[in-house]
Amino acid sequence: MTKLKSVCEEKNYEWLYDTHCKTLYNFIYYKCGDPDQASDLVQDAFIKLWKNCSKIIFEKSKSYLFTIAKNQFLKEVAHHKVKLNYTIVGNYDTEVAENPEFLLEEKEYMKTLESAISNLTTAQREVFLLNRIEKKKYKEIAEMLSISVKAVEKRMHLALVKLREDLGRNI
Amino acid sequence: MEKFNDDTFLARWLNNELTAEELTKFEASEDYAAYKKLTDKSLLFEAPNFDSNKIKASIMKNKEVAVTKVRSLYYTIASIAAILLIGGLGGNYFFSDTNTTTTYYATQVGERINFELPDGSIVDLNGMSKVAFNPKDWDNNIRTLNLEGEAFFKVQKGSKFTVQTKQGKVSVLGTQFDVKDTENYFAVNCFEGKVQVDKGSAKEVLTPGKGIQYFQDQKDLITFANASPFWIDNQYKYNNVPLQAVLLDLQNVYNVTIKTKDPNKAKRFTGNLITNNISKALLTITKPLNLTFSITKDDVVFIKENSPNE
Repeated sequence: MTKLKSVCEEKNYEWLYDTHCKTLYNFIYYKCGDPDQASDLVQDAFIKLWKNCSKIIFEKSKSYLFTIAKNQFLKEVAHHKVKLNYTIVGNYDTEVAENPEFLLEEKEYMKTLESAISNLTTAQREVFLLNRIEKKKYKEIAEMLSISVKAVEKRMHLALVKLREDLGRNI
Repeated sequence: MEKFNDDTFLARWLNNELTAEELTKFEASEDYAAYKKLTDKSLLFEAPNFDSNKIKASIMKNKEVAVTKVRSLYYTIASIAAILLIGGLGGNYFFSDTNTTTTYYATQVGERINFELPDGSIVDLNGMSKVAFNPKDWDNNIRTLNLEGEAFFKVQKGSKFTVQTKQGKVSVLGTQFDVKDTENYFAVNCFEGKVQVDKGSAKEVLTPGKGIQYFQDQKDLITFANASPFWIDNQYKYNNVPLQAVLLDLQNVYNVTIKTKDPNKAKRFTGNLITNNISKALLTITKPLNLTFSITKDDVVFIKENSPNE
């Protein structure tokens, strides 16, 4: 019989951190828009995991971390504008040469899109960004949020409709 | 703008799950380009950098330090006392409860917030309103919360979901509803699914498009056609609603304080609340009810009865 992995073992605990910290951080960031708050919540969640390491099955650690961070976030309501970084890609040489306004328009569009994303409800935004930026499948998102896949799809659909409305003619 | 009959259409499109026929039709629609562009461009975004090593070092340093919160005996007594009190009075308020496990949300005049409950249900809280719940209960699938003021709930499917207010209890058998609970006035509107309202010993089950209002213990059944409460879209329409409830919305919209003489509160108003001009708004409300108003410099509005000799 293989021995069960224990969360209390330092190397397993570290592995969990290295594997999940970035996703957990982004997940919280998409909700709150505050990098400091997101870092704090990641830290708190992992400390809590350590304190309860003997009670938590290694395989369940991921969903434990997400639940802890999510609930803690709900207690600290403050919302900020969710700022995102981006690099404009494209064939600069030809496109910029042919149309000098290209860069400007592109920047404008990204700015409008960023602000439209920020204006989504928390529920819509996290689903949208987890799918787009984190490339998570609907099923994975459903697990992270403990909701059904259908609910994820509905939120995704609504997010897109809302973004389209907000962007208006700016296409 | 493209209308979708199916509330997951775009999600399926993004996941390449549309049928060939659906896809061809969507690609020919005028909105396709816009959707394509926004979903493509959003791939370029990144979350801000996260210094994982710094946080790791901090976790490793702090994880051995005991952070157990000391709960005083006072709190233990207080929370037990509170539970007993609730039992005794049949569900009166925990807003004054000091129990640290309760989560509160409260809005100021004119403020509006929306937040997610632990089960993923969404609450839109109107101004001057409060919600309190215990996340621990929610984790155990006991979905109960306390409300003062007005809120719109989009409830996730699941077990029973209950909103307790001073004047009555609302239990969800379905998904979207609006509760308004202010002094003497209690109204529930059901937008989706089924809702049960318990007021005293009376029970009402509401279906979509149906509402109920109690004002000074007079009960009215309401029917409506809007898909979500008007206040969500900053629109305010009333049909035989107590003046007091209308003035409450007006205070939220314009961020003013309204003072009235008590008898006025018994009047009822039918019409719209204008949201961009306070004088016009007050005029449309007061004139039909034979009232006059005055606004002071510090944003206090006085409303009084027209004197008969004027």
